[in-house]
Amino acid sequence: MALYGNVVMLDNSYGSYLGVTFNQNLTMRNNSSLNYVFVNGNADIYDSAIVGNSYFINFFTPQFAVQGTLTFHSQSATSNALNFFAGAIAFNVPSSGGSGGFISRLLRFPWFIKF
Amino acid sequence: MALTDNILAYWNLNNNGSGGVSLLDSTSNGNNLIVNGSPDPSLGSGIIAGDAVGNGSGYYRTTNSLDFSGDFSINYWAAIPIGAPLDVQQFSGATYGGFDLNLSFNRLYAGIANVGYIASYTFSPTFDSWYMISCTRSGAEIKIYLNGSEVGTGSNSSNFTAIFGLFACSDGGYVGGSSAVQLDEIGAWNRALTPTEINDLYNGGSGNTYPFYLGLYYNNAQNDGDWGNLLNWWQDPNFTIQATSLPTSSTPVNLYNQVTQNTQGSNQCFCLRATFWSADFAYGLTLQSSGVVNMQGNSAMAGHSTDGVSMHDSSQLTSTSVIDGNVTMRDSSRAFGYIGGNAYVYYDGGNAQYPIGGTVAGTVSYIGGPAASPQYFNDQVSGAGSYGVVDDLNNWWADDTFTTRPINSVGSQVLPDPSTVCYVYGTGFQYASTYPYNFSVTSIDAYGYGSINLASDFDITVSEALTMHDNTSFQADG
Repeated sequence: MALYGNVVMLDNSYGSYLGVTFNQNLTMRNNSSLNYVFVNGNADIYDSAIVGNSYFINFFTPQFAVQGTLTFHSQSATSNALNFFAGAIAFNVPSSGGSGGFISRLLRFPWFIKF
Repeated sequence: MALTDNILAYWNLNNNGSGGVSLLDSTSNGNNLIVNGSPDPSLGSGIIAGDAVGNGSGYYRTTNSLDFSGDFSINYWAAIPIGAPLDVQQFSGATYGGFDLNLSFNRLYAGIANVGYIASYTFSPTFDSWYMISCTRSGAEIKIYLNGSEVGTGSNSSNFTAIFGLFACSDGGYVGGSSAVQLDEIGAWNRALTPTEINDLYNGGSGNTYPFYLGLYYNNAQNDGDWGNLLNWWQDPNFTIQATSLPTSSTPVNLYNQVTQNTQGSNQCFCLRATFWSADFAYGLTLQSSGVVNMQGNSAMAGHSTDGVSMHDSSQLTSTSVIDGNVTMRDSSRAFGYIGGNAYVYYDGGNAQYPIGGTVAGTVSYIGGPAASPQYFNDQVSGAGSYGVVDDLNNWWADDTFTTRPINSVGSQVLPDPSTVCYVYGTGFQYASTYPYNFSVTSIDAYGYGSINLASDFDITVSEALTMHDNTSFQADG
């Protein structure tokens, strides 16, 4: 299965254990969550959205893969992925505010990240 | 469509002026033949004005590759001599896995060299008798015809573009071998000829040759509009060879000017079938045609036709017209008269007449209109269809009251297409009635806890975006 076109996830929408490809770009906002998805374009994570949000562990299959740039736009946007792939990672986060959950989790497993 | 449309090459194999066989391509495509081997095939009398008589040594091949990547057709005449070898090669691609079409001593077949038959028809041809061999491919469907009648089908969509050999077989990148067979009137097209066109080529056993003049041509040269005036009829579309007799019920006719009377037939105009080329047919006349009447350009039919009519361009059935059979309307054609059969109206980019005028005794079908937009999916309301089935028309609605159907501009409800904006409610997309299924639309907005099931054989294509709202979810159970 493939989903050809852009995907926007809002308002607590979610998807788990999908194993599917989103052919273009992904935007996630407002508590949406997504796991085991491969994005051929870019992914932009806002608000308190979560990528790789599961306890599913497979070190050979990324829980979240982005061919283009994975950008976190918020302190509270989070990656819980135990492994993931990204063509590039960007942090477009305002300097003010407390520490966000995404940073600590990313740093826990930096060796799977391709910069 | 004319038989000259999408033609790749035509070799009539007539006298080249020096007693040999002409290898020229009759079309303007320049696909002349080249001789290999010696001696050359010699000139015979043929089905029409000469043919090539193979001798088991010399053979021909095409100058260029013929584009058989998609739809294509081959048509030729063949006669197998007594004592010919079992495998009589006639029309073969010069590559491994090339396409070939052959009439052998016990069958007609289309096949792949060194692989096997695609379509085959078992019969024993009479030696030294002419047979017309035809093969068409439309999509993946291959049909073979013998003397204008379909005798076999098969399936193959491979790219068969290649240099082709005549009298010869493929032999790994070149043509080789040679067959002692007679060949004549060979044509190739990069489209599938219709059964009617193949029948026109057969022409009752007499054959037809490029540029495929058939029947009689009317131009009203005498300016009297008289079907019954022989001086208005010609044997060719250039109006240079005068007809020797008026059309009969076995004559196809082509009308290039108005017909207003028939002084020889009590206004009863007999033909096998008629094609109108921006020609008018007056009230009071009856076109006694046993085949479909084809109207092109801005033709107008005001009289009576005993068979159906196929309308194109801006042709018109006037208010006085009476058509006994079915009417098919394409392009910007219009109907205002009486249709005794059914009417089929194609949308054709929005040019179709909707609703059609006049009276239709049968049914009217509007075909091909785009889906209404927006459309709302909900499988959980009164009148809804099957649970979660995306291609169930009863799950689609015109708005979020879920009470009216999304009827398009030609009065039909059709499933969303790439021009449709979709909103999804209820349980969302769970299944399709058939798989694999590709749901292609402009956009999807999902609401209300519905889900989108990303099953393995269900693709979704959105030209803008798929947006998930309100606790909606993706699933993947396939």
